[in-house]
Amino acid sequence: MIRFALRRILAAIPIGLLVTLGVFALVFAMPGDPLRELAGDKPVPPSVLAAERAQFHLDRPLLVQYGLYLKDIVTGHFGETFDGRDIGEQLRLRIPVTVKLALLANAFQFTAGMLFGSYAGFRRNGAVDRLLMLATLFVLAVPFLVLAFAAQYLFGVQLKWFPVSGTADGFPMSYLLPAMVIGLLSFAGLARVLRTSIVETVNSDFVKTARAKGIGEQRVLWRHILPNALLPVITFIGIDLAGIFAGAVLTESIFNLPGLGQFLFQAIQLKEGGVVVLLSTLAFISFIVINLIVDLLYGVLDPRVRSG
Amino acid sequence: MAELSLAAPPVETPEGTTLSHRELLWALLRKPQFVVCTLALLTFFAMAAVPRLFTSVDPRACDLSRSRETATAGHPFGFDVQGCDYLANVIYGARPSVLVSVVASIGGFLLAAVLGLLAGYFPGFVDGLISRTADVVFALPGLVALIVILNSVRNRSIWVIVGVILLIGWPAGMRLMRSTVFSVRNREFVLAARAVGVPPLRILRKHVFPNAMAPLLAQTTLGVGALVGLEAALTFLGVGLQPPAISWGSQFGIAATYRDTPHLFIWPALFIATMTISFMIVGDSIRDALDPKLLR
Amino acid sequence: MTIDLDGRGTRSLTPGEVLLEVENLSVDFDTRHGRLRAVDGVSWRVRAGETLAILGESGSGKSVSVQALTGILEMPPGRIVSGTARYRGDDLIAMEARSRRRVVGDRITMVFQDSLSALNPVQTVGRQIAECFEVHRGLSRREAMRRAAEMLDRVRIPAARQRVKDYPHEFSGGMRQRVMLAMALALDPDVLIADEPTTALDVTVQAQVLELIADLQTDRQMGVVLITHDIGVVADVADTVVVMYAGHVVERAAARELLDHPVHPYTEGLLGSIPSADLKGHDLPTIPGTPPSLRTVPSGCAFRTRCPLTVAECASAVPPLIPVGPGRETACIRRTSEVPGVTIPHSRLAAGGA
Repeated sequence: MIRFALRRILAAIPIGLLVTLGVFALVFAMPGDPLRELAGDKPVPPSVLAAERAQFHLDRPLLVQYGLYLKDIVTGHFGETFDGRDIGEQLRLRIPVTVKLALLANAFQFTAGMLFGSYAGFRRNGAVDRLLMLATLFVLAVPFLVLAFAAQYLFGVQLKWFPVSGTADGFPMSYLLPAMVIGLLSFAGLARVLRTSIVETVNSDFVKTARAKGIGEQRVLWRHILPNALLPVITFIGIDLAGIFAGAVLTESIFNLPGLGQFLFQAIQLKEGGVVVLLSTLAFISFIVINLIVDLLYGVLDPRVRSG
Repeated sequence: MAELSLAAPPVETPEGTTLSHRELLWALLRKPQFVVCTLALLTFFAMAAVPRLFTSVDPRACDLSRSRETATAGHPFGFDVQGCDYLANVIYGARPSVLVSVVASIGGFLLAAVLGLLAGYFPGFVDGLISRTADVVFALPGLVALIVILNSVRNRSIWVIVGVILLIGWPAGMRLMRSTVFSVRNREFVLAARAVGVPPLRILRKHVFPNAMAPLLAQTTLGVGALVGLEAALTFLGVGLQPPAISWGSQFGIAATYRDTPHLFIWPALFIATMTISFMIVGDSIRDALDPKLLR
Repeated sequence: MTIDLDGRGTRSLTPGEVLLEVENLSVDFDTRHGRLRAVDGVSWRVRAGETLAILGESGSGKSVSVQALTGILEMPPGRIVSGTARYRGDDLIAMEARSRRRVVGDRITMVFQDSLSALNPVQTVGRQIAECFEVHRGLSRREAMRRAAEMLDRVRIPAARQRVKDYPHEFSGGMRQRVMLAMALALDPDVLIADEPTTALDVTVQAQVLELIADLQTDRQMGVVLITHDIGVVADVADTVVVMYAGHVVERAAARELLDHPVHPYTEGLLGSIPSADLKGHDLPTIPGTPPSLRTVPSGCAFRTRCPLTVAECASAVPPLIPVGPGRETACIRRTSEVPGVTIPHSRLAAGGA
């Protein structure tokens, strides 16, 4: 198992370097001088500009720049943003925002998804099932943007239950609305996957065998149906978690939350190559780690994967 | 072994036989939700092609003094921030959504199908090259990659946006196609074709593709609506279409800053939601019709 | 070979005692095309030490009938309309689920056709066998696993002690079917219901599995209900045969008699369509047409549309089973006495059988 994990991590390193280099090259390829643009119309003495360019490695060729940024990341000297904020400090402030949002959203998703998905699966074609299938079809069809704005308007502007945006009200008040919108969206997917999986498992032959063995319904459920029915759910949750970073960019923009997604978006707009490389490295590492955990978990729960 | 020699087809599945195209169409047309949603989509397509059919007002004829006014006679949707007729603006906004979603879907299907066919049918170097590239692209957080690339482009037309979406989006479809090609490539009819010396490209075109395309087609149809949302999200984030292009995404962006004027949000939201739900239901119906196992 | 039991819940079986008796069992299915009758007024019984074969094509209702009486049929869409299934006098169908579970899985056990899908893929085979001992005998997990290993050994799986820790996908088809057998025989049941136990296996493995069942059967006078579409299997192991067509029992007889002198035209057609060396150079006789879909069962005798003897009266009523000889009944108005149209030479069955 440890060998498997190590092999996966080693295989991920070159892909990670390619991905971050690709993202960096694109930022680098953006036209214009970021520092001059930042200064706007203000005249900046050439000596100051040159010093700043050296500070952000902007005077070096592409690959050297990329290498220097990587070195900064590995050694933990994150440096400053263009406008003089300490990047390490920014990470300390922003990581909790994104993590809190993700945890809360996942809490909504899990509770609702598991409850409704399993209920609908066991009572297929019942009223709850039909309602759920219809509701999730709509939730999955309506664009996230529309859903988020509608929630903001209804619960924020009209009913005033939650703040419309920003983090002024702290945790959990400021996070509830965005977390519910993300949760609703991913709940729909989870509930559908779980429902289908349960319907398939309940009708499978080995459940008949279990019943023919004369064991109680509770035992059939916990020992035979659920261990099999939850397998596709793990994959789904893995894909879902891996997408959190990308989702954060949009969510944090709509709800004006100062998290990593917003940071990344600003950095892209300002063409801050260093910050973009740092954040995309973070995103990639979390992607790989989550994938690895899902694969390991799958291997523990499904012997067919282990030996194959 | 003394088997019964009378062939016994499964009794309970009269619908288990594969449907012809005509039967498929009939099965679909019997579903009222399919008919309604197809009509809705045709309306949106017409809106995108000839917006003048739906409004005679010029969306750019504006009167600043009427900024953000609500509905009046002749202007059922009210006015936008610049005092332009909102109905006309929402109708003209259909074009980018329809174009991006339809063109990116067709393009994405073709791209994923071709790459998936090649990767699935030619193991070794070709498969390795395509699959490893897919691994790298797949590891990019999709939206982030889109933002980075689109942000580096100065003049973003609809075609640039479609191109970038295709560039980032192909791996998922390619993997699906590759796995179905894997399951088809050693079936008897393919082996038979190979045995009589049919050239590989012809085998791919005539034998493999028709038998391996259904899952990708279903996934593509279900994904069209998501592309409408993606275009809007990109434009909202400021990396999609640029002014003066009229689109639902940019209308959202403006609506977000004028929250006390709900009609700015409600109308494009209603249009975009109707369109994506229609795409979803049409896709869902087609998938159900293609997969008789799901019929109960 | 003796089967060592801890004695609980078992009474010794008198040879010839009726163990399981099904009477007038009818099962409906609710489908989107309306209500369909899958099993119609089926009766049969199995005695201690006897092997009863239920012979029929897929869709004839043979599996549905046993799934209904053991309570594992999905209801809905299935529905038991009428009938009783008495295990040593107690009606399983009228019983509460809780008390039925004490019989089904303990005194009456089942083996299914596709052992790959019939075993839980994420549990070791040992755990699945041990579950029987834990649930019905209250053994500790450790003791149950020890007994599971013994059972694997008894069904002649090599290196049983190691293989209890393996998962179903790590066994070959024949070995997996032995695992199913080990599970079904773990509690030394009175009746074993085997639903097409050998269909998915190749011929030599089939013979081994059937032989294994027969060996284990003779030890304790176990009754066996063998569901099959394979006349060769019937010829090899069955004592009595019940032939089913479109949900009805059309013929019931001792196996030897049925194979020698089929009375019902359907049975006759089945036996006539066995390939053999005698027929070399001739077309293989077949029954014209295909078995009816449950939605389109003909009125009256369900077989009349494919029957060479059909007359107008066949359409008017479902023919009842009538005695045509000692211990045998047939449901055909054209064949009311034992005057067989063809006689099947033994050589052909022996050659065809596994």
